[in-house]
Amino acid sequence: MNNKWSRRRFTKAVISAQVLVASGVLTLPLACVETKKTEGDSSINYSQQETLKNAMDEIIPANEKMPSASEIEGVNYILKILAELPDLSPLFISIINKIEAQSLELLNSSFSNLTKGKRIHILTNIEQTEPELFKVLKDFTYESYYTSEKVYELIKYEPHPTGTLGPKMKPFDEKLLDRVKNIPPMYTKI
Amino acid sequence: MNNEEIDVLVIGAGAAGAALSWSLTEKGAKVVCLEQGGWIDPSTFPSLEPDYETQLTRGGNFSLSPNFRKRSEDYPVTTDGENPPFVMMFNAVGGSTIHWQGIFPRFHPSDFKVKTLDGVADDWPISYWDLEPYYDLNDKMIGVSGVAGDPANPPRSPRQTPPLPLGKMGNTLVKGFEKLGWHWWVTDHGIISKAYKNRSPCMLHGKCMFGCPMGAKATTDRTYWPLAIEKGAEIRTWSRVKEVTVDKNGKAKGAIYFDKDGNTQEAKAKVVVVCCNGIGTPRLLLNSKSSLFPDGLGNTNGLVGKNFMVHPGLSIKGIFDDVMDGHLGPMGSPLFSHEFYETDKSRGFDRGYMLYGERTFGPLSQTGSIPWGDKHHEAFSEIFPHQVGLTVLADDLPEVTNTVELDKEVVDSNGIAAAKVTYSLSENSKSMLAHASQKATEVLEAAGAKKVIVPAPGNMAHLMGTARMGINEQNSVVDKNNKVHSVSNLFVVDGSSFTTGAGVNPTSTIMALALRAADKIWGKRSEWK
Repeated sequence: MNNKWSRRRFTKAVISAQVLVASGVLTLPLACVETKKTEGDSSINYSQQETLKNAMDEIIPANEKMPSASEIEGVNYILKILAELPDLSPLFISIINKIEAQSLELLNSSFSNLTKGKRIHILTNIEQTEPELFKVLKDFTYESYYTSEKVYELIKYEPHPTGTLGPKMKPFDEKLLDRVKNIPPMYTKI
Repeated sequence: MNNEEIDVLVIGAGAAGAALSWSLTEKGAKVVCLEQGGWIDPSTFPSLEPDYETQLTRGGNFSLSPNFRKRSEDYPVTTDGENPPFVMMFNAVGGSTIHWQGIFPRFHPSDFKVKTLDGVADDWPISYWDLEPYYDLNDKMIGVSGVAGDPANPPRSPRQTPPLPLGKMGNTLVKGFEKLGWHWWVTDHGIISKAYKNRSPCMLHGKCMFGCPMGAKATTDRTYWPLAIEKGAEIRTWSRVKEVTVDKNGKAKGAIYFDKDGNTQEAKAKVVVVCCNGIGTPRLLLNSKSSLFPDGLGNTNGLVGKNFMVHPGLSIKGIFDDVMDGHLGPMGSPLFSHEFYETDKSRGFDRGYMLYGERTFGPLSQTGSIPWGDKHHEAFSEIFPHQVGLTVLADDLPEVTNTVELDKEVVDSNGIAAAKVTYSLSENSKSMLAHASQKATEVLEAAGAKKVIVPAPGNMAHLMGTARMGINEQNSVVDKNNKVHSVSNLFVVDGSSFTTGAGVNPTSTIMALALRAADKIWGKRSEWK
């Protein structure tokens, strides 16, 4: 919405949208275009990206059916968010630094060199001591995963964005109401 | 329209302001509406994007809450109380109809007479039957999908379009209600299932709260406003009202507002109608202080902002083995039950509640309680796409301690004091929710749910009661025709004029009240000066 949007332009846009939607011509890409980011154009350096990747992969690990967070370009998704919302960069850098600092302090190793069990130990510790900070990492990991077209295919979710043809559904069968129709009036008459 | 020529100045272009402006313009009144937001470009709707759910999980410029959206046309709403509500509203031409679900029930006749019937709260000064012709007119104007014949409600005219599909989750709930022998009915929606009045039918995408570009959902920018504008009504967008002004005799004179450039303007009119919702209306009245009304306009008895109601609710989920595809189809509600709507004192509370099937959003918004780590995929695959929502909407009786006030510190982008909302659940509401939780669980289990998840109580963000209607000037703000008691040409027409909240969604009743108020205002035009 902007303050130059007028009633006349609104009407024209409405007519166009109705025609395109009804005809099924208006279709939109199913997911944001993923652009590979490099260290040069990111606020997070390569080492930090590696920590982020390993943390995200403990939050959503792979199993026999599903990929891990990083396998569906989760880190690139975060980098894209940070490019759009640079105010978030200090927050993510803080999370990453916290992970590395605890790894060194508690286990005398960088996070990336820890075993899976020890990484989970570090993340669990941060979840307990810095719950709000950890929630940011968890929520963005979930967001990167569950807005991914690859994941949609795997979980058999068809997003049907408005502007595409919608799903097929059976019309309502009024026979379902046969019993209820014969209930005497239930409302209080006053 | 010249600022000196206005018959009726309407503040707020949402559900009530649109219906009222159309009706008065149709009759011949010169109407100007001041709206703090603008026209929304349908190509900007998040529903057009597959990642629309991020508006729910981390906010955005289409977030349901003004506190997350933070557009310049939004105003902050701070919250307090034992159960501070999650506040939802939209500020634009169309108001909160832009992101409503379109669920379109009517009040029951008993809802207007709770004092007489149950000895609680107060009776409305009007009855269901006073509103019935306006419910019908409104239905014809916007087009409603559904089917007439529900035994839990008085008979109503045939719906304009057939019911929307139930889908797998709706049909599953039907099995539960049928097994228990309880009432259920297909939901009336302000969403058309067939083309109606040059609007395209619903295509079942299921993202109604994030914009309906084809116009199947009855947002008032697509229904009433085009008709009103064609007849001569004028909307002044990006016009935020600072205060309603009064003359030396205590009559409403017009309004002072900030235009889109931040300059102060004044519009004068013979009649002023405030349609800013159950938070915006008391905020404006309380901000409209003068020597004649030092505590705010219409607030002679101190009741402006009191008795705030918001509809307590529970979003209960059943988990099934079968695929339910609850995200397919209109986001509103395939069906509802009024089995526990009317008062039965043996239940331990007064009044009652509605149960309604509620569809889910997509996968992202269903991850809130999913653990991270090795159990993540197993936990997610258990709920998606296997959830069926059965929501409780409880009658909300007025409590004088639930309030909308002016925030003493926070202001909007024009420096006007923000609203502060305080809300706590009453003991009656707590008892009602406990009962409803058990009954909803019974339905879901009867439908075959292997697990039922009952969350903590929430609310429906239906904003009501803060300029209540009544006969007695001592316990109400407006009279039976929505006229403010202490000001002869000032009206409040929106959810704030509700005397009680009933146990159903309010928009149908808000619009019917607006059409009725327009008739009453027009009927007194000989007194306009």
